[in-house]
Amino acid sequence: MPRSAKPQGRPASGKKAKKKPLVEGAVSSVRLRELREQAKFVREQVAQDRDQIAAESREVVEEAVAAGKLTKLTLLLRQDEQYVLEALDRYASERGLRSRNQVLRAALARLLNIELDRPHWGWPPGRRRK
Amino acid sequence: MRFEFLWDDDPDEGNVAHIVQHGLTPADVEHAFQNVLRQTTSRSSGRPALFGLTPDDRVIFVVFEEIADALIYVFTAYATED
Repeated sequence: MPRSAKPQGRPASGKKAKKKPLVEGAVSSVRLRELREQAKFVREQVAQDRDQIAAESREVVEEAVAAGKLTKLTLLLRQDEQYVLEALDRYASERGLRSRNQVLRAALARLLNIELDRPHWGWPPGRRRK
Repeated sequence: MRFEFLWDDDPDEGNVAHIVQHGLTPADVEHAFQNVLRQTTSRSSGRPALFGLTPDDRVIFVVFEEIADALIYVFTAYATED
């Protein structure tokens, strides 16, 4: 369901994220190769935790909703209105959106003529971000 | 003090190509670091991790390491819910 969000916490160190990417020259090529190897291993490990991470994510969202950090809008549909879900999924599929939430955001933005951040899929691999 | 991010653009092994496969951009992940819902630890890998929000309010899970002072390398990141 669509949610509105306010900027919330930051890592425990209290450091603010910086948007400027840092690519070359930050680490040696040897270190970079090490990181790539570590990354492969870490991704395999993390894949084993999918269910636990999904459960924790639901918990995180519920806590954020309870704390007023996120707002959850609920849409109720009757059993004979399943075609609405099918239409949502079809729209998402045709436009490369990955969730019903994203379709509803797009629909609300158009219906209400408001600015809502949209997903921006398709960052080309291998191209450096300007 | 601010975080810097090491984004590896290698099309085969880089972390940018990896997160793109999950429908994310470096900007999405960096935004999540500014909009943290929970800091945690990846259970299997033992690496630091967080749940955060992308600019379009997707909840994502990010596993990372601070490889140098305020320099973050992202191992993986993906949206955790529809």
